[in-house]
Amino acid sequence: MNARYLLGIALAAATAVAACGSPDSSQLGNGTGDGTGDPGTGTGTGTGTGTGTGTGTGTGAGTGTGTGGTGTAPGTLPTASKAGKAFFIKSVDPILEAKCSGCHTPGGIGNPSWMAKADAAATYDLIYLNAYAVAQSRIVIKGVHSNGGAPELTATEKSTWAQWIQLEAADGGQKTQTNVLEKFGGCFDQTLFDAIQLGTLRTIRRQNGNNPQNLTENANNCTGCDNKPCSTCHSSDDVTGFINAIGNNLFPTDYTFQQTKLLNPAFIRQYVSTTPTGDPMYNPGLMTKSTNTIEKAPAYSHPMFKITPTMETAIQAFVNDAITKQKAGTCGK
Amino acid sequence: MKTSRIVAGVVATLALFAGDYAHADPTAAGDTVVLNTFQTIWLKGDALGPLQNGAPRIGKNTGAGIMDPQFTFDASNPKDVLLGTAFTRSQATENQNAANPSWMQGGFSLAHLTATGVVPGAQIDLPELEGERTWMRPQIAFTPTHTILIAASEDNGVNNNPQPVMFIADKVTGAIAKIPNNTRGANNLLKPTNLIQTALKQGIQVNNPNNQRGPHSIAQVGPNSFVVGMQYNNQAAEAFKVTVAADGTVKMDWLKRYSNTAQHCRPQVVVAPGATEGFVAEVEANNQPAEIGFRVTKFNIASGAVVASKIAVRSDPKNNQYVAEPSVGLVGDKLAIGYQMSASVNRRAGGNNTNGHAGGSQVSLLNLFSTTDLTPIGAPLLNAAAYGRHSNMFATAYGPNAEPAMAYIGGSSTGTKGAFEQIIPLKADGTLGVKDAAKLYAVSTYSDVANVQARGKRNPNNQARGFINGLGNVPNPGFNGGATAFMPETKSFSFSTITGYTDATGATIGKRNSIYLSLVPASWATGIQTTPGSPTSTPGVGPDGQPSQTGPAPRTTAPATDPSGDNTSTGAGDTNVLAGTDPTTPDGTDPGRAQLGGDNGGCSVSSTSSSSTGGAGFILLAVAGVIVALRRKQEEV
Repeated sequence: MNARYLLGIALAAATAVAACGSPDSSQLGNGTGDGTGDPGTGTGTGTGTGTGTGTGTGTGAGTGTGTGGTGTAPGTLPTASKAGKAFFIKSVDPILEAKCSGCHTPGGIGNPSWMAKADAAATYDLIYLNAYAVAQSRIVIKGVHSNGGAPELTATEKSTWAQWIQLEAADGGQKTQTNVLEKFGGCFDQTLFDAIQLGTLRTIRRQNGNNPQNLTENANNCTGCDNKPCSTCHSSDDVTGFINAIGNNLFPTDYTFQQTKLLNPAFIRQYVSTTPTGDPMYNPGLMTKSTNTIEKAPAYSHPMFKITPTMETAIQAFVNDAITKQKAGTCGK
Repeated sequence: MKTSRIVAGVVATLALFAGDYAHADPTAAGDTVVLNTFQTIWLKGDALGPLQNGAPRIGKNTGAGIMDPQFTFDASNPKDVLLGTAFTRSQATENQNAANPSWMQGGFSLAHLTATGVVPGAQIDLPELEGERTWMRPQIAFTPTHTILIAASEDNGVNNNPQPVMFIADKVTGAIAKIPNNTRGANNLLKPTNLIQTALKQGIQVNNPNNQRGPHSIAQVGPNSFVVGMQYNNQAAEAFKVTVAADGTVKMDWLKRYSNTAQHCRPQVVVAPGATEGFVAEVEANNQPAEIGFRVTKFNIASGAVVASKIAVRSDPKNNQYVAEPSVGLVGDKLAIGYQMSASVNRRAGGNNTNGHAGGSQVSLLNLFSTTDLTPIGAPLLNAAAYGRHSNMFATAYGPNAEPAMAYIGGSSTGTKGAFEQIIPLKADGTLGVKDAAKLYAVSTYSDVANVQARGKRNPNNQARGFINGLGNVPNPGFNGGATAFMPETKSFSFSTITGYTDATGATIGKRNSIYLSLVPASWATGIQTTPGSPTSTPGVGPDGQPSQTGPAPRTTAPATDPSGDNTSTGAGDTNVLAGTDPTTPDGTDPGRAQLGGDNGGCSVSSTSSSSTGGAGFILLAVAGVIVALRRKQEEV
């Protein structure tokens, strides 16, 4: 269980810190429900419900073995900066809550989900879990998106973010934790991936009557909009965040499967995101994209395509199989 | 090139003083310097062109707002670098006096890069010309006194077959200047001179002089001289050398043909500063997609004579793999060529119902070639660019030591995302470096290589390409200039003008394209660790801690990019993801990318010709540096 694993790490870190002679409990987990052995007494508002027994190996001088209490995350992961976390909760989270939580919370249409709605401490942890806690975070540099409905952070807001990062850095440098998705691709099963049949996906030219907006496109004037496979563009366009080179004979037959495992480029994010507890979860990235190309996108933007229920089911089966294996500890660690 | 050497020395001097650049620390959260890309909308194209029911009308011959920009720079004054761009633009009224009118005309603009930043100039419209294709595939270059503007035009004084024509403009004011031997009438300011007719009048043999010809690249070979790569009648590859005197008189020095089997060839020329030989690469084909491959020719600059020539890479029609769009640069002592392998999805492998490669996939490749015998060096790098379609490779110097590198620039096919440069330095042994996601640099917020252009050109069915390119080695006058300077940690940039939507609204409603002026950090002060940033008009941090056009770069705790070509940088997940701006999805296709960042030094005036400082320029830089160091040493004594 990932939550347990994280708890173990937290406890191990606690031991390590203690062994190093740091009496500052603020260095440790400070949410309610911390595991046994965690001396933290902070004021976090985490509401995690994990109940497992965790074991973990700490770095540095200590080796931690912790018995899990309740609540391993969110809001309970160790922080290197009490001041940074407090500043985040007070000044940064309200910004994100106002601008991002409408989509980037569990169940929202934002891809990926990296916030916990109305839970600043959990969001704090999730940002670390997603490795976003850096000055040039994608959260900071993300431009306007979602048809203009999702705004970019203002200069002042970006400055607030920078202030937070500065506090975090001043109190011990990066605390960036391992992103669970970095190794998650090791749990992917190629047979299940092939069963999705991504090679059969084709673009559909927008014509009056085949889309809610009744948009029309001229097949001669668009790029890849008329019955073209995804590989037309997504064989090599890494910055789109989606890889599908199936059928392109410049690449090995398992190229798409192997590339899909990557977090950088973040091809894996089309399939997997993280829960507020840092666990991997199915992410409907392709379905979200499909829906948007059908319902919202203007003509001559990303071509329209439809993910069928059968394909969506196959994608879920592919991802859920990997999650099951990862939780069993047989891969992705 | 004498001028280039002089400027290389100047840049070398600047580089020497770079090493002890003080670490500015305005709002530092870490030690890694974030090298943001400077971008600004240079010229807005949204409102250009005809309307229909109050909205932009984009169709055949309306143009795409501003499209197909080419650009150049002149760093002969290192404190005031002159930037220039030429383009095809839309206008609100069609030209009236031709059988087949259009809304497409020509334009250009000048900008200044100084120690305090960029001052973009206004759009300068060229005189209205007649015909459907009035000003296509524009090229721009500078002489000491003039801006040289070359394009293919039906308004050429002969017939309505596009031919290479030239305007010249005052380098300071941008005013159209007189060409005493203008073929359209001496000193005629309203019509461009016809370069083919000029060649004929000057005794140069030109095969079928009244047929179509169009320029596709330009390389400076002297203070007043240029070699232009030219496509003939969609079937052959040619180049010519032209010299423009201080009084505006145009002299065609030579015109040569390098391939008679070159449909859709778009010859790309590259010449190293001071070299006596140049290179031209062009598609070799009888049909489209190109079933043969691409050819590289080494030629004598003084005469145009062929020194060596061979098919460098071959297509594989049986496996539906076709070569397309080679781009060239000189990196160290090697020739770097980027190209696409294109698939025709409109036919089965080996079939013959050709319909071009439109709609087929395009994957970018990159390889090094011997400048001696033009043979490939090692295996090509597959999928070298961030975007495969219509991507373009150019040479640049890179990193704190201005090592030779290649930059592969690409943009969005749908216009809904930005442009990016993938930097690929040479390895220590001089071979092709590895592709490192941490060396991906954002160029602009929006870019468009195949969308609006595809709908606004003359023949949308088969002329859908939008051109994207870059130039390395633009020195930064603000380098080492302290807290009030423009990007003071950055020694040099790569420079691009990128077509794309002005903003998200433009993308949503499908407006026409504007052009971004982008300066991507390419080389930087020694002793600092850097990471790529994002495209912004405020790349620095002001005295108040707020984003500012001037001032030191922000700092981060993110891991730094390893500038070498041997290794990929490490990083924590996809922390330094670049801004995605696809308006069609709420984050549905976020790119997961790491960082971005460049030096130069070699050439004073560059154009499409692309060479890094790793070769002669770099050596000159090093020599100049030693000289300056010795002088400093003597002064200390």
